[in-house]
Amino acid sequence: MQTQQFTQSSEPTKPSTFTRETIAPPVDVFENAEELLVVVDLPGVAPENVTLGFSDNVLTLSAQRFQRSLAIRTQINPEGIQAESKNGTLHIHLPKSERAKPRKIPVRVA
Amino acid sequence: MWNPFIEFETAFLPLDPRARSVARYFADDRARKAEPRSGAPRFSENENELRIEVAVPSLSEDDIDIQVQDGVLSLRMERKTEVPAGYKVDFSERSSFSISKRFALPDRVDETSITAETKHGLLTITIPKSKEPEARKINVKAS
Repeated sequence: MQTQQFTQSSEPTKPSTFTRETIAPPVDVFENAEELLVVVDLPGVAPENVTLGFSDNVLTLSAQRFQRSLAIRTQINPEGIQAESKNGTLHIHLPKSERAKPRKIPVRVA
Repeated sequence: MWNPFIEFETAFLPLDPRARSVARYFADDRARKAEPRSGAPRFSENENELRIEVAVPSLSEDDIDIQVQDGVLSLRMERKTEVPAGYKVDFSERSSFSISKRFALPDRVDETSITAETKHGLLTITIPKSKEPEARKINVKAS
């Protein structure tokens, strides 16, 4: 039984000088056997203005005034990360690495 | 001086009791910083039009109902956040909301030319101002 999978690794507290401060957008995280699915509301942000990064098991999102970092404790295959945006909501797919997927061991009849 | 925004703000009427849960959501510090917030309108104006912007992430145009009648603009929308089929929830912050708002329109707007569009989860309602009637000079006749 896993406890809370995600923790917020860093609050975006740094205020910008004269412009608007950054906001941590609300996030949902879902999981199935194959992947983690991160859903983020980014109203008013065009997909091309979203920057995603993944290193040291931290997913970082930067989109105009929105900023968020999520520490991810599941082993992820970083090359397979994909994201799509619809109506101002971003869906980020983080495929689990083979080790993190549940594996069924077939039992043979002897 | 005509200030439409005071009228807008005082005319703001949350009609749906479920909106209270939304208020709690906005009471959250992180969410409060959001600008514009889901359901929290932002007003602006230029010489030709008034503009209301509302954050409506993941809503399509079919989820948003806007009506104008007797100088009142009504806005209704609902978002249900659902767990995608086959997934379990690890972490959840995004909330469902059901919002119903009414804005009293100022007198000098063209109600028939109001337009609304969504783009990247941001709803923009544009309310054109009507032309100010030109001052008419009344001649005073000497009798």
